[in-house]
Order: sequence, then C-alpha cells, then structure tokens
Amino acid sequence: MTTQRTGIRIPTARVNIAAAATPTLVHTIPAGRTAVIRKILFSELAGIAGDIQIGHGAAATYVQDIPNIDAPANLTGILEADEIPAREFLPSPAGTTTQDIYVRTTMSTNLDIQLEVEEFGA
Amino acid sequence: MSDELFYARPGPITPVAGIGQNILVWRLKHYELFRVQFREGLPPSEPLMRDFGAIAAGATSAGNSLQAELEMPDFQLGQFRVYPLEDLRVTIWLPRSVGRYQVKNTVAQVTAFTPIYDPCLHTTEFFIFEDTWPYLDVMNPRALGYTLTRVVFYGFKYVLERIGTFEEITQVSLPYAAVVSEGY
Repeated sequence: MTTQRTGIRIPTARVNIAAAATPTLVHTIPAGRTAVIRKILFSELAGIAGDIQIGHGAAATYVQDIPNIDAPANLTGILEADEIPAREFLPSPAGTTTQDIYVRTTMSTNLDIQLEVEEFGA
Repeated sequence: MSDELFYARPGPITPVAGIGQNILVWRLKHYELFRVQFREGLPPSEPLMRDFGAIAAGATSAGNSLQAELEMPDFQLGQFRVYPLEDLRVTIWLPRSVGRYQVKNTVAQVTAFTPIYDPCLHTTEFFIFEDTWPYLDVMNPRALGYTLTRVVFYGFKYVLERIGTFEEITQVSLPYAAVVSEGY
C-alpha cells in the first residue's frame, strides 16, 4: 500500500453569507479527521466589494486561519489549491472551538461561497 | 524454508502464509509452530486508528496500551504495518519492556517521514500473538502543541492450529514462515 498522504475530496454546499462579520458554517469535519481546502468558489451578488475570511469557530470563538480573499463586486471567482494558503483544519488547541470551517465577510454583502476540501483520516 | 515466506517483504503488505501452511512464531525465547486454518485482511480504518489526543510541543505520551485496537483472540496472530497521520515519532514496545526495531543502543521509530523513505512501510511490520498487544510512546517533535495525534494500523490476521513448541529452530522439520511476536 502506498502511503502518500492523500485524502478524499468533499464538496460543501453552496452557502450564502448575508451579513458582515458573522461567521457562517460552511463545512463540518467528521471527528477523527482533518481537512485542507483545495478549491474556493464564490460569487458576489450585491454589488458590494469585500473580503472573504475563512477560519474556524462560531460567533465569538471565530478565528481567521487564511488571509483575506478579495471578492470584487458583481464578480465570481475560483481559487485552486496552489492559490490557497496552506492550512490544515483540526481541533483547536484551546479545546473550545470546533473543527468546522466557518466563513465571514468584511463588509455587508450578499456572498455565495462553496468549498472543496480534502479530508484526511482512516 | 522458501524465501517467499519471509515477512516484512518490500512492497504492499502480503500474507506470510496461506491456509494449510505453517507459521513459526518466536515468543519469549522459544518457537511455537502453527498451521494456518484461516486468513483475513485487516484494512486501515478508524477502528484500527488510535488518537492519542493532545500532546504538548516536544512532549511524549508514553506507555499507551493498544489493547482495545490490536489484541487478538486466542490462537490468532495479527500481522501489522503502521503509520502516523500527523507529524509524530512513534516507538513500539512489544511486549511492554521490549522495543520493536531495536539495535544495540537505541530503538528506531515510525515517523511521518517513514513512508517517504519506505513507501510500502515494510520496515514497520510486526506481529501480535493473542494477548501480547503493543504499548506505544508517541512524541510530538514540533514547537506547536497538537490536539489530534493519530496512528493507523493495518494488515492480516491468521487463525492458527498449534503443532508444537521448540527450543531450537533446528528441531523444526516442517516448512514454515518465521515471525517474531515478542521479545528479541
């Protein structure tokens, strides 16, 4: 058996982020697994430019894990794996946040986002 | 003894013996000869994966019993290879006071780099006979604490029928595949 570290590709649902600075759950990682984002698809529907912020943790526990991603107004975008800063999502050292991936925006905007993640586990 | 019956062969893990063939198990300074009655694969999966939980930077979680995952039923032998899913250094003790992969002055470890040099993990292969399960020391070599520290096992199991016990290998006249279960 080859042991290259490859996982399984999972697409998330298309999630709408309607309000600024409100982390929205995009992907739940099953217990015992870690995940890396391989693709980001987004579309800005309200004519308001903003930044996409991807991290983990809901509400007040949210922590941004990947630098801001520019979302120009009225445009769609796609980022492939090589364009996405490397970050493996796993349980927080503080033990108070989840493994799940949350996304929020910097400005009030109607943003749709969908991810493709690669999950590692057994 | 056929060269094809050696264990830890380079390449994907393969059974050391078929049904009706013999396995000679080294256990605590004597040899036990068995005939294989049944053989089955043990796929790498969550039940054979152990999460050792949070390990601080540079710290070691020592003396972890793998009874729940790897204990074999009576008259059964498990053939396993192992790899960590995180950047860990794993030391295997089987039995508890004897290191696997030992040389005179140290004990080799299974790490996240092991599959790079040994893609098929054949150098990690070890055997568990009945209730002699291993104990693991798991070390986090990074400057950052981990909360998820996983090690996965996979391989084959054999249901055995005892033929005899021998003090010297020269006493065994039947063909066999020789494996080490504990000690050495």
